[in-house]
Amino acid sequence: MNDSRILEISDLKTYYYTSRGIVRAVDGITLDLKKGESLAIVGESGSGKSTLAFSIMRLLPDNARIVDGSIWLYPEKIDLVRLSNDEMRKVRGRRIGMVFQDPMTFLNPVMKVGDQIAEAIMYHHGCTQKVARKRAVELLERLRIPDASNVALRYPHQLSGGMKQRVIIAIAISCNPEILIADEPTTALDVTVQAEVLELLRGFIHELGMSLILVTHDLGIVAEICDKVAIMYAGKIVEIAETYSLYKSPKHPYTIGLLKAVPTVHKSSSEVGGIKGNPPDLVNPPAGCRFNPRCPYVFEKCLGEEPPLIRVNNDRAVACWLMM
Amino acid sequence: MGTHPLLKVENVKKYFPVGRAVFGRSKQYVKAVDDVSFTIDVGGSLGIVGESGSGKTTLAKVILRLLEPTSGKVYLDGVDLFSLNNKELRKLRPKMQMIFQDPMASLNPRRKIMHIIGQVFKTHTSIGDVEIRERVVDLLEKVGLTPPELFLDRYPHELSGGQRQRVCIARAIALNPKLLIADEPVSALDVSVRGQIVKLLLEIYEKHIDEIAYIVISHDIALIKSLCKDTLVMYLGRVVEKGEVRRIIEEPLHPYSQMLISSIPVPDPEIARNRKRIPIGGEIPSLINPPKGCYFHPRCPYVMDRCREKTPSLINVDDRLVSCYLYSE
Ligand SMILES: Nc1ncnc2c1ncn2[C@@H]1O[C@H](COP(=O)(O)OP(=O)(O)OP(=O)(O)O)[C@@H](O)[C@H]1O
Ligand SMILES: Nc1ncnc2c1ncn2[C@@H]1O[C@H](COP(=O)(O)OP(=O)(O)OP(=O)(O)O)[C@@H](O)[C@H]1O
Ligand SMILES: [Mg+2]
Ligand SMILES: [Mg+2]
Repeated sequence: MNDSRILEISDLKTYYYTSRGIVRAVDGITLDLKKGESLAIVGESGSGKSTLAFSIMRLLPDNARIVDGSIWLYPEKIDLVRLSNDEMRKVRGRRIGMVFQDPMTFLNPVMKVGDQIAEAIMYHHGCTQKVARKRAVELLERLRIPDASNVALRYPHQLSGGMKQRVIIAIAISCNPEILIADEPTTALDVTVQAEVLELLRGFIHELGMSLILVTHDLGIVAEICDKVAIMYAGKIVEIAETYSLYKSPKHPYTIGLLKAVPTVHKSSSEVGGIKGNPPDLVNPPAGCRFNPRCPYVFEKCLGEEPPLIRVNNDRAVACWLMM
Repeated sequence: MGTHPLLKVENVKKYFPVGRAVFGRSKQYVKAVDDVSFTIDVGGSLGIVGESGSGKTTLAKVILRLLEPTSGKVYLDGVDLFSLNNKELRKLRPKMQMIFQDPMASLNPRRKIMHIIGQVFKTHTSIGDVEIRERVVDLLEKVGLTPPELFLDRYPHELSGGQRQRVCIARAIALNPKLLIADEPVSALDVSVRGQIVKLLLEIYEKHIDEIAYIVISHDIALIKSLCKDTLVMYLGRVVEKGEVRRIIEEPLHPYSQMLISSIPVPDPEIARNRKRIPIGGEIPSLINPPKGCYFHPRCPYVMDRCREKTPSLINVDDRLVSCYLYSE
């Protein structure tokens, strides 16, 4: 596989400005992504995963700002943070596509779904409406939507949750993006359809060399499809590792807890219980390591000083004082 | 515990018209729910699993009369819901609640959380503003949005996906419903919050076991297992299997159930990438022109001649109901 870098995020900070104060949703994230690689971003609800995704797409709400850091897109090495809106529009969709967590916020409720997909295809490929519509139906079929040609003529509210989610996926992949950011792309899909959609994404990765950033809380999906996993906690990456070794020997106490908390058909979520305590308030995060109030191994140093993300071996970096 | 049915669903159908066939003169319909029946006793809980688009959400909305049925009957505590007029229905609303699949779409984007939840009390009770605030704070705490003061004055878009879902749950349980239908209640949540919500739903359930019935819709049978004793498995608008969740996971009888169980992702990359699965794929099912006979037959590895001819009816096999010719003579 090609080892060339396609995206490099360095020390990215994205904050929300609210009446309560500044929400430090993404607070110093450094990552890189290679061509054809699939990276999972995993973390608790509210840890900043979607904010990170929206930052890369530059689709943040008005009260948010990227206050620091860079997002380099290769091979030209352009910094997306500093791109003009016009230039960014050309990158969006064509080079970086996104599948949104909440389909309804991004589907137009008064436009037929087939036309919404066709519009994206026309915009990026400059083909006729007739050709684009035909391609839209083909995409829906590949995503295993029943009665695809009929569904294309329906409005979003006439689709089931999982069908809407697949329409969003169709729009994102219709332009063959170099990077696909998928924010919880399969939460509304049953396991059989999910397996098929993941297979399709896998196909795009292998055939077209697409890179994938998969935002999810489902460690089962990560195991199926991702090469690398970044674990986020309260706006920061606490551990990043190659998938196999992360599952085999998680190092950060939060990762350990997370893996223990995975429900399976054999141990249900009420039995596994999860990690004790609540995620911190991002306006006033705890001093030192942000995980310290919930960490079973907490010691003095954790309370005073924030652990940096340190490479512990070839394929892993961890931010924990226990590792140093 | 007296076991009388709290909810009785009889032969419910919901067909959506979706334009005309290209050649015929007849209208086309999506048969989203096609003849579903079941009952739940007081204190009972039932899961509904099934493929995306198999009619789960539609069935729930028809039961609560958020959608008008094509035919069938639904009784809640003896009351025929389909015969109520709007005024009667409105009075009953707080007693039958749904946690919607799409949290963003069910929250008014221009209202703060305090208002969104408080509205329930304003509409259906006569308690004053101070007490409403206390109740809302209480509910936020219950669903793990703590400290509640941090959330009261926020708008839905200022919350993460999982936080929004918890607001929806808080609103649904505000007035102690008799029938609570949770449509994918935790699919937007990560595992640790998911554990909390599951515990919360179980707590509510146990506290009101003498008066409540519960339906949990999910494509995740592991979740259903932690919340419900029994489940329906739906395929293209029909029930193909019904029984104890635990048993269906151990030994799924219907070939669709078997496919469902074998495609569950395993949180271990080694197993996940090497295990054998029942191959999925094959023809994509149609809800407009469903196949003749058993709807699953075009994808079924065990298909026989008669599966293509006539729909198998739901019959008792051991401890459950299955509609499949593999189990009948
Ligand atoms: N527009 C906004 N204004 C203020 N705060 C916000 C806004 N959007 C998100 N937040 C806050 O930023 C934090 C991170 O949110 P984000 O949506 O990135 O989380 P997430 O990791 O994607 O969570 P989930 O798994 O629930 O989707 C949360 O605490 C959230 O409440
Ligand atoms: N208003 C409508 N008009 C036409 N068809 C509709 C309408 N609402 C739903 N449908 C169709 O009915 C079928 C069942 O949809 P439903 O939302 O009940 O599925 P579901 O089982 O909840 O799926 P999911 O797991 O994806 O949420 C789908 O094919 C959908 O397109
Ligand atoms: Mg999110
Ligand atoms: Mg649904």
